[in-house]
Amino acid sequence: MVSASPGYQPRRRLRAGWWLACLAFFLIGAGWAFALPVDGTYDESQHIVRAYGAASGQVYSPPAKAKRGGGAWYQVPRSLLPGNVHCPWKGEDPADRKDASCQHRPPDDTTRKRTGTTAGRYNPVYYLPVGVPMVLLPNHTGIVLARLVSSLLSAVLLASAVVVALRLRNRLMLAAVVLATTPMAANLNGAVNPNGLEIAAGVLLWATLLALLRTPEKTFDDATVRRLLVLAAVAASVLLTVRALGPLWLSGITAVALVVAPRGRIPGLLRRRDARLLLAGVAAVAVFAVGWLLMSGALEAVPTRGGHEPLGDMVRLMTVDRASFWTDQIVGQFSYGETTLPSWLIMFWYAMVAALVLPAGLLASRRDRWTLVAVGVGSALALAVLEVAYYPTLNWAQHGRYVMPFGVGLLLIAAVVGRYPAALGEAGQSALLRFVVLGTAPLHLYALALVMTRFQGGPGVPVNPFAGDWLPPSGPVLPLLAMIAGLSLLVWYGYRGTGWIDRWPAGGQDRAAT
Amino acid sequence: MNDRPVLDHTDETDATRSGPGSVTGATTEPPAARPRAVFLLAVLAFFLLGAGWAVGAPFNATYDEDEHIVRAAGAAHGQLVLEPTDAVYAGGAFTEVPRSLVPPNPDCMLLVKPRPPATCQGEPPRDASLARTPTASGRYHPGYYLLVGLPMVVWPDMTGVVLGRLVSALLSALFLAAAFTVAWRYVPNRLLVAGVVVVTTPTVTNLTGSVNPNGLEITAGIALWTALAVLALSEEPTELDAPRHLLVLVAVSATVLVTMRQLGPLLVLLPVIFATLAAARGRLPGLLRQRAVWLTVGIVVAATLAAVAWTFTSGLLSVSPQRQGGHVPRSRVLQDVLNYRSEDWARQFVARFYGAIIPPDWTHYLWYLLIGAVVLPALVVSGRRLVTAVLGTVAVTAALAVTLEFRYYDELGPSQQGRYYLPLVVGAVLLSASAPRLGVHLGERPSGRLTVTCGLVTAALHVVSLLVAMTIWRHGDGQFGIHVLSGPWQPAGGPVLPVALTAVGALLIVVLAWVRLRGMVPGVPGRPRTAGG
Repeated sequence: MVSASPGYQPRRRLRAGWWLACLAFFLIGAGWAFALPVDGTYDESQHIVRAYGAASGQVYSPPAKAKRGGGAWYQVPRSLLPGNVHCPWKGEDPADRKDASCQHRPPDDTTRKRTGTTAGRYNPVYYLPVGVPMVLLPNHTGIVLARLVSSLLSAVLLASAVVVALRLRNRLMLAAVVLATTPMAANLNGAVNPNGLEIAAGVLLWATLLALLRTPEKTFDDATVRRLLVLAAVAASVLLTVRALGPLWLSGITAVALVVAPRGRIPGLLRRRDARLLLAGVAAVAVFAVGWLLMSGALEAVPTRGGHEPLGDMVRLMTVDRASFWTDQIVGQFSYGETTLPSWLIMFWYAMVAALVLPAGLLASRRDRWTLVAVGVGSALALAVLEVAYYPTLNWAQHGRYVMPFGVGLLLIAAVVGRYPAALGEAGQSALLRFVVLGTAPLHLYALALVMTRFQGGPGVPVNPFAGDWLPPSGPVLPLLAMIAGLSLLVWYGYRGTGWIDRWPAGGQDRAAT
Repeated sequence: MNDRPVLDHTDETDATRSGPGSVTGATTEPPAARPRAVFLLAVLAFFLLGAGWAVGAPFNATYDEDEHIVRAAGAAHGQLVLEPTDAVYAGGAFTEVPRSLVPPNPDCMLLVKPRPPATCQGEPPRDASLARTPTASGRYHPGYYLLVGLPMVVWPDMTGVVLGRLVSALLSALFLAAAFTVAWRYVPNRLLVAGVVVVTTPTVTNLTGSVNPNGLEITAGIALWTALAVLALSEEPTELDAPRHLLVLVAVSATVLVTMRQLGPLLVLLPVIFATLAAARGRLPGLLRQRAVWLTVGIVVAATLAAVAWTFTSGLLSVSPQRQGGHVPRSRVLQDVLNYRSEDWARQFVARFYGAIIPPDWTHYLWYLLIGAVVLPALVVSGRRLVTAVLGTVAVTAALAVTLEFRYYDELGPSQQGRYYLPLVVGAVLLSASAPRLGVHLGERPSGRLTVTCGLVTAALHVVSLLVAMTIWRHGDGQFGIHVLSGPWQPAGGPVLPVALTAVGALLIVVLAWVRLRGMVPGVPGRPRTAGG
């Protein structure tokens, strides 16, 4: 049983850890939120329209041929978006891509006009809180505030995952959370795009389920189990509602969690009344989410630009080209896919992932090892199957970031299975955590500087986030400072902040290590 | 008090010890069975890896191969020392080679856009008479070229070129197999075997299977680092003599390394420095008490002096400007290095071939996943000396590459390549894989599994890399994906033979790693020892 020990005040430390992690992840996302022009992240302008609509009472809009042959219509203030919002990236020819100064300044006119959005049929749950600032301030400031709300929502979930790791006294899980929050995920957190929140929900759901299912019974007291159950229910509900693929990822995560759970653990949990109640709540959310999907037309793929290729050629193209895009994007392929981190930085990120996952897999039981393989292979296969399924209607449309809510399980499972934590010992785990926070921080910062440069000076110009024909309205220094502050907090916490968990008597180490 | 449950490792015995712990081979360690057979099989395996590229590639399919072929044919015809002349790229020299050796358009796959298939090179004339021919490699040391050029004297055509490549592959295979066998023989944990496997990248095998001394240089570097790592990180009592063949391997590999290029002496000195830095306290004085060690040092010093003398007398040091446009601001060079050059270098460490033929990104990421799985846990569990040595190796490699890029940018433009630094940077992987504590922490069987995993994944990536390159040679830029069974150009032995050779070589390495895994004593992860690493 976890019990507070005089002098260490674990509950206070947990709370402090949550606040610190929340602030750190929020600031990292805020760096992106302050830095980029409107539509600086995948499909942001579409999500902005949907978010404004949802928050202004237009929770549902009938399916229509509003944008790219689909989506829906919303009444949106003229002052919200530049008329030529896509000008920095529009056009297949790279020479046509410009810096963000090409965007016209939106008029001050706040009267509404009918605006189409491809995100028009999506579930409003994410868009409601994110859209509120834009209803209050229908201009660029409102958009930046909306991004900050988005970043905050994700930070809350990620900080909760950090606290789960602290409760487990598992620094490898902390490292896993840091590694799962790739520059791409951080960029999405700090943008109006539900994908970031979806990834954060995936991280939290994996963390809570693994904490609940992989720890020996009686590891946690009743209140802690209840908190973990609540967190799992929240994460599952978010995952179900924010994007159309959520139910698929929730099914996958649940299935894997059931496989890795020791015998008797699930019936034990289900004997708890609170667990049954929360499960019923998640089921209700699932009914709502699936119902929305069926009713809203969100599942209809409008055949606007589909392709026709034999399956063999599709497999070949996915192997040679798409798979590289997927793997690049998971770490850092930004804007509309034309701004990519230098591959050696992406390699370095994956090398850090490998330092956690591969030894953990090798030191795990056969079942756990194959579970890790299944999550990795399953992630790639899911993208491939979706690509094949939607190619006739949407052409090549699947992104690596889509599968991250499920794929991050690779990191989180690796953090708890097998003998790796025990083999590393406390010193080794601390060193790995330090290595990860220190190794990832410059990559985050460089990614931000790179994408800022792309929008300020245009694609391909030398990296200089302080100058350009377009500058963020709050100036180029604030985004960088926010990012540096967030990263510094994470680095500090990785170095100095977790020492107390070694002095915390008892805890939730993995059963395999006991 | 911390009551977190941990494994009980108190039953750790000598038989479960890991790390380079028994350089005399006199401990209770089990492996070491039939090292000669292992060596011969490893030679075959690494030779086949290179042979796939040798028989699958058209003329001039690897970095500057046409220049090296001319130099090799000339050297084998007795023209060992050439007069430095402005022969090509405002440098190099002229030599006499058979007219039948070089096709009329050897650079067409580089110059014509979109890239045509290799048939664009045309057929060389049948006239085997000697013609004065320029070569940019004319000032390089003739040792390597003499050996690989001999087949071109007998067969002054593409057959001779392929045989020259096979000689090159064999020379490199000797070094790689020596490194592999040292890792097998002297290091109880399996991870150094994995280290040798993951540093033998497709770029390395592409170079070993071509007429280009860079392949031999890299493999000599791998052998040198492996031997030095084992010597430095051994936990044997210092009064025991180091095995002779480890010292012989150091002497031979260092001699080859200092001879190949101007940077050679540095590529030997730095591994010695970093291995010394990583060594357990007292290890160096122990080694220096041995006469055989001093003899080894003497041989390497003599070879270095000879190499330096060649460098100064051959004209290698004169750099002729090849770039117009004058001075480039250093900030622009830095941007170029950070955004583009470093990316190319990192790709080329694994798989980036002549003409910017690059396998898909995910193949690189998979390869770096394996490297990360070996190197980063070693950094996490090892002591400060080893960590400093590993990080220092990476940092010095980067600093050296960036410095030389800066130094020559105005004259040559972007000139440095990742492959130039492979003999140095492989040390970071090999030192990490030798870390005594790594094997202890991971345990015997997981280490073995990691080694087999490295073998399996790299085998697949070796084959994919060859398939990607062959597709371009066969079709030019006209085909997307992998299409090696068709195309206007065809290797002399057909398209299946190269792939089969590479696949068999790679799988043979997997089999050897698996045999090593099966032949060990099962154990559990042990408690980290205070000494070493």
